[in-house]
Amino acid sequence: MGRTYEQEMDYIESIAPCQYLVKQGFVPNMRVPGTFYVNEHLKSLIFEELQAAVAKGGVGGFLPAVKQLANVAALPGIVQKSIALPDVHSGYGFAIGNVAAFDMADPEAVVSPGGVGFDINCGVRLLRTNLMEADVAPVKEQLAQSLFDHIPVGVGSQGIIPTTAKDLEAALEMGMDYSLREGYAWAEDKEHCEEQGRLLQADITKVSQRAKKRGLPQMGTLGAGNHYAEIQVVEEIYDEAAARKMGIDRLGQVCVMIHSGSRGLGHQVATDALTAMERAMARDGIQVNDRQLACARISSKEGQDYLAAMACAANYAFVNRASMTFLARQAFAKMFKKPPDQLDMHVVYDVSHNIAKVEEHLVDGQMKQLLVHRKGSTRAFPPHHPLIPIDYQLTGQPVLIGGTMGTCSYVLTGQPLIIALQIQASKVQV
Amino acid sequence: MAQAHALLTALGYPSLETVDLSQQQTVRQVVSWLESRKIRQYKIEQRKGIGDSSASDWEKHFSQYLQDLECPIPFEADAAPSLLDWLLHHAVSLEYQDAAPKMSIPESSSTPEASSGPSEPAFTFPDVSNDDVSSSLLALVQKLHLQSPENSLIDQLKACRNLVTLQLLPSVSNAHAQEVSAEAMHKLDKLDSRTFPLGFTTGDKQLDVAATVLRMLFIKDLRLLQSSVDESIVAIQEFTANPRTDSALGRIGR
Repeated sequence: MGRTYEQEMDYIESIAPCQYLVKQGFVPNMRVPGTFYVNEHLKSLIFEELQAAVAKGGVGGFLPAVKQLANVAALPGIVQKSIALPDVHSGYGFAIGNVAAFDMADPEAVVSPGGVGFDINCGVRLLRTNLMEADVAPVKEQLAQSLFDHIPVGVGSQGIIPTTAKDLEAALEMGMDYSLREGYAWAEDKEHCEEQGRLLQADITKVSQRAKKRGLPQMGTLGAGNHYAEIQVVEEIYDEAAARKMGIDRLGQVCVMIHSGSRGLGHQVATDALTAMERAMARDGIQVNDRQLACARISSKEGQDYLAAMACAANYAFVNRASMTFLARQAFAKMFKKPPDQLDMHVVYDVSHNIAKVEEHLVDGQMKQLLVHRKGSTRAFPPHHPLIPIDYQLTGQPVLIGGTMGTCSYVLTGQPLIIALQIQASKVQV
Repeated sequence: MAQAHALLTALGYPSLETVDLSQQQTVRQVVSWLESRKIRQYKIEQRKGIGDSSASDWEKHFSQYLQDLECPIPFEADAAPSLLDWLLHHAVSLEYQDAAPKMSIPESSSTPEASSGPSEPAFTFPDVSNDDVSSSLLALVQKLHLQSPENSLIDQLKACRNLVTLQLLPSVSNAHAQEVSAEAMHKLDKLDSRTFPLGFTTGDKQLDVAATVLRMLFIKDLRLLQSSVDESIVAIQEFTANPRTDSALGRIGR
């Protein structure tokens, strides 16, 4: 019989302000503990969700995020902790906001599409402009309409950039290098993009025809759900030096934030992989707590196929955001009758928050190669990290926290161990 | 030691090659020579005490001698090198005081009055036919890498003057510039770890500053490299880029 809420809470311990530990035993087979970060405001949400689930006796509805976090801690090959960042909430298999790393050297270690999500390489890109709120305010309506005309939105929307099957294959393989080749992106855009806008392990033969067919007409479209292209205004600056480095250092400065991903193509890649992995799990005898946590050993064919196809979908998402950058630049250029470079429409940064990547990290003092799943969470590398652009070597990686449509977004910088709050950009509704 | 040798050279000490200043005997001889030839603090008959380098009470005489010269360095057993150093500098400054009127050039500000008399030259110059002066001039010309067989002495002097007034003096005697650089050094000491984070610490503040400077140089190099990469991309885009849009293709979704 299930445990009561109080019994469940015995496994959860507050270990620091805003940090909780989920002890092993909270769900069966936990290999490592879990941890989550919530402030007072978010705390009630996460615990009420757990309480409601206990009341229902674990039947029906979503699994609460804490349970999902713990289920991930039970996956083979996980190292150190299953981590949930604010504001974690339940998703497919993995909670959204869950980070989990798997040891590449462990033959049992797995890769799980649920840890990346259906919208592979969903991410946020921030463009700056040299316009001020006062320049935009009189033409707000026209500018918003112009953006809608250039960037189609909604389920089943189709883009205005002509894309052939050959173009699509090049985009899947080359990511932003394709956008550069075709002239949709500026050379500087690439350097301010996570992974320079291209995952090298992409293999287009691992992407199904069905996925390609879904992706073909959607290039340069936003999609639906919580995706947006917003005109934002810098409202508060917390760290002048870092803001100056990013070129968003004036209150009232206008920015454009694009939040989108790999559209139908990424969804199809994830769906295809889940089907293949269910078979692999039966074959390799992999036990998981939740059917949604379908996974395969990293070294298996299914695991490798997924990583190669996921890289293609990630490249598609980079190209998609680059294409929308091109379209947003066109919309602004037409409205203000100036070329985009005169409007200083540079990419501040482009960062993914749904991706799995092989990275090297120190684990208990030992350098290890890990497959890091990030779902609804972005990396935040500190100053001098080799994987961040030269321009941000001193500030740390810009971390883009897109708000929900219409609420504030934040630009932070990566710091050793801590994340410093820096710029708050509020939005002009579009 | 090297400096002591240079000073002895300047003073014209004989048989300099064989001088070994780590030998107590040699030091005593040098002191005696300095007094008798250069410093001349005592009358000749008073110089006996420090003149006899093998005397057992030499140290006592030397101590008295330093007191008479008002040497600021206290006489101690292990202070011998610094005492000798001071003595050499003292001798050089005395030598300079003697020679200064002969070698110095009149200030150019005095020329307006001088030029009022038509027979007077624009400015006076030490006698060039004097061997000392001409050899010093030749040395100067060589040091400044200005010697050239075709040029007359006047031309060479003009070239020297230009170089000294336009380049050397501003860089050497610009007190303000020195102040600024001192300020910069001060700033370097206080490199703000927020603006210029090092990312690690060695525990030694000065080493951290050096490491930070290296990192900044590295970032500068990387930026140049990245810019050249960007330029190459732009150059290639000239051939490959052809961005198109077709608004007829657009379809708004649900």
